Amino acid sequence: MPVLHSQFSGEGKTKDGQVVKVAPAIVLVQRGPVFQVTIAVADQVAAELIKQGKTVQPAISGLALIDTGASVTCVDDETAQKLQLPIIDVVRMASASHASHQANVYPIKVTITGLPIGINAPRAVGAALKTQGLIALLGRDILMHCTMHYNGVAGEITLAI
Amino acid sequence: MAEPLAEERKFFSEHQSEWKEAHAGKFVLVKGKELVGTFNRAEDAIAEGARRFGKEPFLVRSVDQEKDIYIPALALGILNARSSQPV
Repeated sequence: MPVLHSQFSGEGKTKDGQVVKVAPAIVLVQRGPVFQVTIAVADQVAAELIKQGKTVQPAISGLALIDTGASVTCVDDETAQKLQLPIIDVVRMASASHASHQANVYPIKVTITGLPIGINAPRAVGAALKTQGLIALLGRDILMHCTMHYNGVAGEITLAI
Repeated sequence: MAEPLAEERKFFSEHQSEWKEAHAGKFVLVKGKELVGTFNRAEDAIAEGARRFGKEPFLVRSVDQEKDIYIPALALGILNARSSQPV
């Protein structure tokens, strides 16, 4: 079973401008469990497009945040458009602060850098994530294929597929 | 610009009750006002949709789908909330 072990690291500045290392546990608190990933057209769509001689856009790299509170994976809308993903549904996204809004659904494939296996998320929901520096929120539909160990004390995440 | 899959979603709503009885637990593939097929897995419906329609939008939905999607971090707008940094 392939395993990816990641310890978070970061630097900060003191009031007098001196650069200091920040404890991994604090970096993990501030950034959350993020991983470098690539988002691509889902395998079943890519295979059909290739058969038809159509262009399949290359995968796009970026950061994804693991979100155990999300039942489904979300993909950045702009990323989905660049990949020319077909829209396969439109859903209502509930919101606490305003009326629920509509979101497109796309078939994507997520590959976590450092792990050799990609996971298809056939119903990833589009959301404006780029402003958060993310291209995806990895929900429980992806996590159902993984074993994850969150070590908050050490500022480490271990993920196995 | 027209809403994506507006015609397909309307067609789905009109037929969901009958499809729930006739195709319980399945995923439907709909294009325009046509039920293209029913499938056991969403992946199979998507593959058939891509084979027929390429990159064009097509509807793939469980006949049992009812509720809204709820992503707490997005719904509550707390992706980057920092209670330690009050405004």
